[in-house]
Amino acid sequence: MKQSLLIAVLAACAVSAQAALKIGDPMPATDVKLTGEGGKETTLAELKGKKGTLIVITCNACPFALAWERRIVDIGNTYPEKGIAVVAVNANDPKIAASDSLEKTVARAKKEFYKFPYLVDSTQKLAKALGATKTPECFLFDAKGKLVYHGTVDDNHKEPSKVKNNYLRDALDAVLFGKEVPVAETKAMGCSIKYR
Amino acid sequence: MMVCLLAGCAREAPEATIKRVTAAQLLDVVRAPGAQAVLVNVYATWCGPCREEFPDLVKLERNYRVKGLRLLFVSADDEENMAAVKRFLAKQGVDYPTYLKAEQDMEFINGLEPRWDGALPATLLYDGAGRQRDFWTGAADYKTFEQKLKPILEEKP
Repeated sequence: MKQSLLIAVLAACAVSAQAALKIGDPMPATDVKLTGEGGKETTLAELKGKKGTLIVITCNACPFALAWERRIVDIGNTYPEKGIAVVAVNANDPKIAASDSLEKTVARAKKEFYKFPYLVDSTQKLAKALGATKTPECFLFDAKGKLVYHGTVDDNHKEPSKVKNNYLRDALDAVLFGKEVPVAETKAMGCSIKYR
Repeated sequence: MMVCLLAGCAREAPEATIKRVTAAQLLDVVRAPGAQAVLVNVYATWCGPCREEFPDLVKLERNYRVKGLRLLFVSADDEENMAAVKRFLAKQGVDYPTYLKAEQDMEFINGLEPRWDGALPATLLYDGAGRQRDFWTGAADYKTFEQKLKPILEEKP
């Protein structure tokens, strides 16, 4: 019974490719409440940075999210002091992926030394407004709140030492120095977001 | 029988072959003559939704092979996980040719379907002429696969 319910839920999640946000589009859903430790709610409007805002849709169990996690945390722990806010967001439905509950998300942020917010999008409104489909997926907005980069962290999830293109860092640095982002859209494999 | 007993030979389960492919090479297999419909499923052994839908795809292939379905499983696992891929396919009862992504993610994704952003599982449905007729990401079930497939199989070549 449980299994057939799960299969039905998964079947309902089968979606045709959704339209993602386009480069130049404004930051959406800035008033959507995101939940953190102790159930504390906050919004993108409150979190956004002076020079830009990076949203990383991620989760606690996807092998790709885990493979890139250290690099994401390094970025999240350093760019806010330069003026770019970094917000990690877990939008997976914990009824489908139990590892993505608020408690486990808070615990993971502590265990992996996140010094930036790792929040739960319990309504999934932010992830849907972004058109996010997988984890990890990065959305970088400039100081004016326009999307300037959408895609992956870099070109090698498995071996950081073999990365040839640091797409996300290049985009972040371009935003910091007021330059055009060299590669605005990139792709990589990832885990489907567990939409309810 | 006696020879087999004496030699102690055991019946080995047939094993799926796993061929490394680029998107372009995969599309050549899609367009190869002889099928009425081709379903490409990109999965990974560690991907929960991929594993959930996999048995339904295997069943679909069994039921519709004779009607012209060609099912191409493409693993997005890392090449070092080949042993895990083989074990997974054997457990699922797959004993026909399958594939392994053999180029960088972005090249493979854009080469196969530019609208695809890399979310797994990804499934693409083609008709016998190699024209793409449907594409979706996320898991589906047998009924959904069948509903999408049947109209294409029923078309006159």
